[in-house]
Amino acid sequence: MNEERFKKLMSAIDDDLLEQARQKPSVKKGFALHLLAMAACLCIVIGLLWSPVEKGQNKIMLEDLQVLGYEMNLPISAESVDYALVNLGDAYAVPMAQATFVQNGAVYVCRAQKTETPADLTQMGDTVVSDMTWRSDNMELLLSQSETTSCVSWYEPREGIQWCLQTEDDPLELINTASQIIMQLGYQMAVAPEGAEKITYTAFMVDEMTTAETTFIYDGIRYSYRTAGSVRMADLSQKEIAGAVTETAKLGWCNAELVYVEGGQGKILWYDVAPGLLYSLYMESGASYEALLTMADELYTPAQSEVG
Amino acid sequence: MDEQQIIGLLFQRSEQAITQIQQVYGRACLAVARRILPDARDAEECVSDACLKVWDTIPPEHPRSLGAYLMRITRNLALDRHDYNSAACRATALASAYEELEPFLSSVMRDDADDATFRHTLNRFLRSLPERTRNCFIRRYWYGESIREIAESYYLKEETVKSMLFRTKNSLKRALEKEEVFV
Repeated sequence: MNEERFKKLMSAIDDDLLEQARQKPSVKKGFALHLLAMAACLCIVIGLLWSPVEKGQNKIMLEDLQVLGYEMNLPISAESVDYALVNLGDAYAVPMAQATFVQNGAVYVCRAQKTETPADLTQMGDTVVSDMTWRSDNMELLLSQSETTSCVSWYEPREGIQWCLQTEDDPLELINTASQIIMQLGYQMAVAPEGAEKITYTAFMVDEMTTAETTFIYDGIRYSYRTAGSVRMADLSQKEIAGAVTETAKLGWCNAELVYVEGGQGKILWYDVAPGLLYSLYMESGASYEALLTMADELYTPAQSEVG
Repeated sequence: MDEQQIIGLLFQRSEQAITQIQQVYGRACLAVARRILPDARDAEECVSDACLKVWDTIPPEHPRSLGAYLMRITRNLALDRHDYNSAACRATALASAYEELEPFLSSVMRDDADDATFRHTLNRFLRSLPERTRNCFIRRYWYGESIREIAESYYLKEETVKSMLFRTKNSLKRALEKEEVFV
């Protein structure tokens, strides 16, 4: 392609597309609080501090939470929603917002607390038996499990809100449910490329490791991306690929192993030793050295990079 | 003052139109020109020439988007001054963007093109993309923004932007091959 062709290619783009691209990206939903709501918030907070709210005594509505700056965007299929405001003491200027709801037969409790730094809203304390941190672009999710409760927590730095979603029912749907809330807040879970379809998030055990998995379809190819806390390198994919070639590569500062059949199945495995996190990316077809490395490069967020 | 009001001033031949254009679009035009021209003075002259050209062409032209119209003029004027074969100019953002596109499209692009068909195919392809992907593509290859600038604007990792552009270029190539469009 020469200079003239390049100019011709670029001059063919419609004006409205150029104008749209020129505009500043819109601020993430929830980022800008209305000044009026802020003023109302101050009045309500003063009233609430003097009158503790309990469920049943003084029915809390969603609007009461919104006035305090909490956008409780629950999953669309959430049912039997109950709202509450809970004072956690002098440490916080604003009460914690809480929503209890039912989705697909499971009961969830969603909590949100305005705070300048991440906080622990799980109330699980020493009962936690396993946990792992799952990084997703500009969001860090903490998965915690006790004997009875599973919890996903994340901190929204732009709004200064700590979130926590808990269930005592089946934990497999927990991350999926959390992802629906996170996306309604205007954030991308981003553990799938733009344009990916049929994205699911689950958590389960692989060889006694709590593993988070994202599956998605992109360009007609099914992918599975897993991460787990581990003390050593291992194959998290649970996929055996017959007749594969094995190559090595660098992914960030991690050594990666690629196992693939050209145009067929493929997987790339790597271990981030600093935080002790194991990763695997598997593609069902269309594998190549470049395809595996490009997709892994996009999905992988080193644990050492800044969140938010 | 909005676009239509500025266009109205141009139609009235009021010199206040030029002042408004410089106030509203001057910085953005300079950014476009600077990505093509390494010399700041060249870029500033380019922007002045662009304002003059808008004055000369409106009326009778009445663009739907004054911003896009002005950017296009600025860019074309800057490209006219730019010498892609000059080693000194290779350092500009747009030159590196051009070099990125070349390996993907050189095999499907020829000189005997049907302009209207190509334009239709290209814009149909762009409109089929998710908005953010499309905007990143145009910002990179039309406005000449760097990967870092794009990543910061959209709160993305640079690797994500690179992968997005890589896949979009591949998809564009397939779209052009499918339509048998050659430039």
